[in-house]
Amino acid sequence: MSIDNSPVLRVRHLTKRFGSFTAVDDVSLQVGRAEIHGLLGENGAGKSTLTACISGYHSPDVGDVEFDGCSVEIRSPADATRLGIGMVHQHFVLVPALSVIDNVMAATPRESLLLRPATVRTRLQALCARYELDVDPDAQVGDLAVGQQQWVEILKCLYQKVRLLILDEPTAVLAPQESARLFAILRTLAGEGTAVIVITHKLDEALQCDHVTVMRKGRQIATLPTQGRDKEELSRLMVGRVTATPRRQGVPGDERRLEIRGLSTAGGGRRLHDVDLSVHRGEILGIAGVSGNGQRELFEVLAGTRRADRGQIRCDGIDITNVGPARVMGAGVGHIPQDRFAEGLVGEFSVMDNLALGLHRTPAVSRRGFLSRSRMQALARSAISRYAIATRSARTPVHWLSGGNAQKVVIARELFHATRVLLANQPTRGLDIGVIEDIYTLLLAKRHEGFAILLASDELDDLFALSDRIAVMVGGRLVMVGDPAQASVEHIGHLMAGGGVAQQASRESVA
Amino acid sequence: MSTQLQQPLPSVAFAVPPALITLAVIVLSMLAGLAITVLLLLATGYRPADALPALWAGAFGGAHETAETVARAVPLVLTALATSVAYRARLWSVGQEGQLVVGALFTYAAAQLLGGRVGPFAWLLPLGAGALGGALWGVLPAWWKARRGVNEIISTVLLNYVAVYLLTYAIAHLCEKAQPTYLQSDPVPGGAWLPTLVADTPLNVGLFVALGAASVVATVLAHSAFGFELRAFGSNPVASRFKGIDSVRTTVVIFLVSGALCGLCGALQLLGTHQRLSLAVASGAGNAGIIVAMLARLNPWGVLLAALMFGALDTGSTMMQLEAGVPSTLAKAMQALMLLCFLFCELAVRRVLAQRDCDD
Repeated sequence: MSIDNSPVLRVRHLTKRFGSFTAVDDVSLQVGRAEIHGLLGENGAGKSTLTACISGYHSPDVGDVEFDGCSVEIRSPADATRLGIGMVHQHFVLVPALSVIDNVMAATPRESLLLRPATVRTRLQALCARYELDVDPDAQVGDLAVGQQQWVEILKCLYQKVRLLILDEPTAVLAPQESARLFAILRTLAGEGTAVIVITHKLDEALQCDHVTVMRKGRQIATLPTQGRDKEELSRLMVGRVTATPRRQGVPGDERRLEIRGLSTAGGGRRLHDVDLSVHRGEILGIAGVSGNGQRELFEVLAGTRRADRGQIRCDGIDITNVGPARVMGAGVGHIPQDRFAEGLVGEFSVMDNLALGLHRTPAVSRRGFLSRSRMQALARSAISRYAIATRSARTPVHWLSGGNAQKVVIARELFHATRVLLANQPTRGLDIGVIEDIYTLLLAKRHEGFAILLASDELDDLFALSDRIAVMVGGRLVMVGDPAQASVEHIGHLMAGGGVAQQASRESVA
Repeated sequence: MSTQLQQPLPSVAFAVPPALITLAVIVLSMLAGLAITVLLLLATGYRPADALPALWAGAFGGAHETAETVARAVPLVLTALATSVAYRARLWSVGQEGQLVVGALFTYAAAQLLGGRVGPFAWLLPLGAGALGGALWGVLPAWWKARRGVNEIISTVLLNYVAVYLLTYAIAHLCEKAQPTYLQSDPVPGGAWLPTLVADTPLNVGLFVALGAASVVATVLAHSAFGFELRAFGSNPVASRFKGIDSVRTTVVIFLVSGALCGLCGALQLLGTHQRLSLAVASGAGNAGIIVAMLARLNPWGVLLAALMFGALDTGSTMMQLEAGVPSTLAKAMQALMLLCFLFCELAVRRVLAQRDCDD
């Protein structure tokens, strides 16, 4: 893409501080009229804060923003909308109970006193036809698959004819094919003169942009055209060193440690259908899948917090179906839940208390119903040093910790009592590469010790590197793929998008 | 990064703060409330220089007044403890009044049944019966909430009405030789009356019950495995469930304990103050306990302090009316002002703390 076109957005020396923490430190960049600009960086690199300053959620402390050649002061998201800046957040801003049309109308500044749903429908249908989006304007948003909700978010922006479209980690909820389609559509948009900023931590996606700005710890490391660059170079810029996912060695045993037969749930929300699976001693079984296809339900049933309606779960031959979380823990099963702050930790509690959570009725930290401070402290001290948890003290509330350190608290706690099975649902989501490596190394060490490990992750490359076998979860069913060495990312992606199993009505359009 | 956007504001809810902050907030809000009261007095044409010393003299002027003040604080301590236990677990019960009333009913029944036997501790069993009654009345909303998801605020409010009507019914129809015209029952047998501590004052052994309850609640909350579960459950019920804390069991036990404390309060009121069932039993101590608990930031030791202050305002305002002519209802206004000031102080302290976190 040529860069001779005049920039639609120009940011000069933008700095944003929160207290004494500098989230964005003197960043300057410009985005051309027909350009896709990537913002690449790890978690906490300042990408989202930078775009939040552009879209009016934060106001910068220093620096100025120029839009269309005029210096502008964007004080609120409404200002940004007026200028023609549209933002698609990582966590969608949609009303599930309303239709697509209603959501679009709610997001659009009112043009007249009366709402005109019929006009909106016509225009939406035209937009869908033009960009080959398969979204029914009258569908209720809550009924749509997550990938389609992403299209709705984008439609909201297109409907307002934005001049600059910002997407925050747009592919987190998409299967590989859907990501490819997203970029194709973004390319079309750019061709029509809409500037696009894509926030990402994935190198593949950064390479699909025209230019990429690499950020690290709030600072702008480099802005460069992507032509002729490769992943390794970007990775080095992003992390500051060469990284590699640790690889497994040795082969798993024959003994089945975790055995699941015909597991089904019928309760509210998404269901599980006849899940069969066994994980052997010293094996990592990787589960791929677009989130929201039953992974959460599977892990919850295994951890004992959701009831199975049919089927059986055995851990080393002991039946742990529907026995409740306490007895599942007692059977030697550790569980790293998907959302560490919502499900894994009590934010107001100290690191020490969080480490004791679940053990608080065992002799490890209590005696005759009363907690022993000294035992809790000893436990915390050993966990903090063994897992290198960076915290000011054992008494620091856990919600002050960074995501990586909070996750280490969860892992330390689970590995304290787990002896046989480890359930890890997205254990590295949103973490820095350094911490991710630590966690993978730890998982491999546990595999070596003979644990049966069930690992679900969005990062397909990592799943391929770590797993002895891979399975795909789609529509509440589990499709076994087997040895990752024999499988291709394309095949897995095809399965993730619903190919190969009976389709769910809600997912048909995605396939 | 994206966490910057998602990070929730520091919660204004009742996190467990260091004791010192609690004390500072309580004292600050008392002083601020007092300052506004002075303005209120000036605006309405009274002289603070007369009114405030009278208020103080009425509350703590002598042994007699002090005993009266402490006696008024005792029921508030119990209902505020009950509130603290529930609210620490983020269970928003407002059924203190009803549990108190049912506790008093059970106490009366037990005292009547045991009527003939007069031992030195004839009041102990009725006291226990009161706790049992309150606990049973408290367990109903807990059960509904745990099993059917019924909002505890609504169910407890409604049960308060049921309790008061039960009381009226009991007085009018069940009590032998009831005096329906006055809507009051016969007194409980003399043996069950609580022994007084200071002659000619309402101060009785209930004081020890309240102090004992405060220390038990403080210890259990801070040091026991159950207290740990209660706080974890209140702070993050999802994570607690994942770590094996049974939400049904925890909810039921918390309501049982909270109800028992209120029932105990009703029992003390009946055996120590009223001696007979009447509508005065539903005196509002249950609702006042909620305010006291909030003021104490749900801290059991803070509850003692805040309850004492409320008791002092109650007794002192009578003297203020006699000496300075200020309507005694001003005491109610002061209590409300202090609660408002407290809420502002709380917010201010949170802001300062949040700022400090950022600066670190």
